[in-house]
Amino acid sequence: MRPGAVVAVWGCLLAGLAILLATFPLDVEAVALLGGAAASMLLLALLVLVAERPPRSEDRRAIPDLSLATPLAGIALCSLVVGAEVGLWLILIGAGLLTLALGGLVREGRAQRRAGKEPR
Amino acid sequence: MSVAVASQRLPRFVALAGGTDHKRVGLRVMVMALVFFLAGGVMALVMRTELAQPGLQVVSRGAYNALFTMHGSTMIYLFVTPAALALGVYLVPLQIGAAELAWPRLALLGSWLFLGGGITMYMGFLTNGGPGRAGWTAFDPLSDAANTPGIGMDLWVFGVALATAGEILLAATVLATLLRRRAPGMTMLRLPMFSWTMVVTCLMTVVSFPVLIVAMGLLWVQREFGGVFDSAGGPIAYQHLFWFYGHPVVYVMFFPFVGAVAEVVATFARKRFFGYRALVLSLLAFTAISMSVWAHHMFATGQVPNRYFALTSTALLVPAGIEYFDLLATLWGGSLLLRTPLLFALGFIVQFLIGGLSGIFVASPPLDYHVHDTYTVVAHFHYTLFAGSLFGLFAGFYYWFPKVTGVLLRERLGQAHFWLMAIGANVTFFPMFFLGYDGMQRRIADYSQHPGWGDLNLVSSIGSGVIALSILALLVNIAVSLARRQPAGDDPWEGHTLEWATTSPPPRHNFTTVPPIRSFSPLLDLREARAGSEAPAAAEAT
Repeated sequence: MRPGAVVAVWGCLLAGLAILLATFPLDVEAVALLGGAAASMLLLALLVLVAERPPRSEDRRAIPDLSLATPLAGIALCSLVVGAEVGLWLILIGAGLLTLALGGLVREGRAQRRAGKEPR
Repeated sequence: MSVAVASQRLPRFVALAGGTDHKRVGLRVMVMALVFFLAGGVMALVMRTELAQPGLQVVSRGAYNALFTMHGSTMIYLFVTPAALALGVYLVPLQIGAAELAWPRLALLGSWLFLGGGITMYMGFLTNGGPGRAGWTAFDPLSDAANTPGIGMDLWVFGVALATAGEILLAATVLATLLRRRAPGMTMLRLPMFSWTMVVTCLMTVVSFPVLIVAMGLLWVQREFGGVFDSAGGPIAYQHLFWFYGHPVVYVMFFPFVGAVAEVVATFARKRFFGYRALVLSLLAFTAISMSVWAHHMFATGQVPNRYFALTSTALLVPAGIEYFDLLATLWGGSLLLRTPLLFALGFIVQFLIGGLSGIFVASPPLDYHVHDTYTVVAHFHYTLFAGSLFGLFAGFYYWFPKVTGVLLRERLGQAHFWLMAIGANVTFFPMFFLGYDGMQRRIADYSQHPGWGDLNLVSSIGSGVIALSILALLVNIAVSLARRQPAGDDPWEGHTLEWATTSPPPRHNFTTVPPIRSFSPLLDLREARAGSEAPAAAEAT
């Protein structure tokens, strides 16, 4: 069984249940929610099926051990969200931290790609 | 496929904050979830003290509202759901022979958003009006700015959204790992049972949890500006959005523990799991149907097609029955090793049955009208989530603790934990069925001198004290076991799945070599092959 097929089967089950729901006295919100979930799963299944390929022996990936930019991004996102209640000053701090974090993530990504290309 | 690694010794604090190792991330989320569990448990004890007798006023009515809101929110958003996902983050790469999660940075970000969400929610305690107090569901209009004013409720809304976003990221990384990072030979139909339960759990998470973030966003706009849920159908629209998350989350808090129990049962029955393919099919059917039962929480509104949701809710019995049959058939005829993990697994099987069977009653609209918003519902969901899922979690905890730490937990303390918890859970929650059937409403700080209510509530409150004692036994067990270490070895239980093929605790990238994978129980295959080859040799020697 291919991984994409698992997601597709599950999406089809949701779609069947959504169709069954539509045959009952109409509840537009309920049908939209379940139908939307089915559609999103079928889309995900399609993506998984398209991206599927067996691993090749020459494939090499570098795995990060540490990413300090990621917790910084987490703190920044929390500051941005809570800032909506606490005040603009926290939103600005959050935006600054997020900029720093994104820069750090780009730098980490480049280093990771370089490490993956280094000769064995 | 090979992996380039640049491992280095990291300072402890730096590694704790930014380490991307899936084991570190999973362990961190689990520890945070257990800390939140203790906080939620303390709130439950205060509530049970308040309810021990009619007329008792330990806390004010407003404080009681805040307590049951934060207790429910803590247990669902900050404890059981993240604990279930943390198990997946830690164990899935080990079970499928992967070196790491598919997107380790995303998992790390998820753990930070979860922590940030929890802290944000709890910051409400520091505000003038106190934390959120509109229940863990925050139904509109109860949760709007007029009925629940104050910054604490806004922080609750943000905290829920952030923690949920973190949980989505954790689930997405586990799902991508299961779909894309399996070791050669590990086909989908050779995934261990726990990993299969994580497949369906993560599918449910990524499709239903974003709807809660939308609901929280709209609720905040409603609180700040109004106009979102003001129309006649507004409160129903909010309930649809909330329960589209709120019921699947019940299964997100259930399936990983079914997987853990299945692993424990097979290992401690010394047998291959019975009916693997039936289990896989039932999991897919069970989770799909459970995505379409959410409006059974809304029967009493009269605004949803009750017949459809009663039908799907009752249909859950079929896949649930298959899973129960598989578990019992695996136990049947096995040479049972009655250690603490199996005790908790058996506790899960028996007690979840009570939760499940009482669910059939509330899946029927006429019966639901009678017990809606009463203590019967409280008893039902505590039998599923506490007496069920939590026992499954502890089965997994005692089973995998030696793998994670390299040391064994003390057996006697483990058994004390089990028996105290089993007695405490039943003494606490069983009387609630009678209270609810007799009409005692939930979410009230006090109740009338109705005959029998005082006694049943007193029994329930005593039970909650016994549960607290059981948690004390667990904490002592962890402390003693870590202080006076009894080395576990790599495979203390003779496990069936790949995580037992590596060291305890596992190294940074999990495996030096992955054993051949020919079924969902690769280590059992190896053991049987070895026994098969040794038997003729022994016969030849004699």
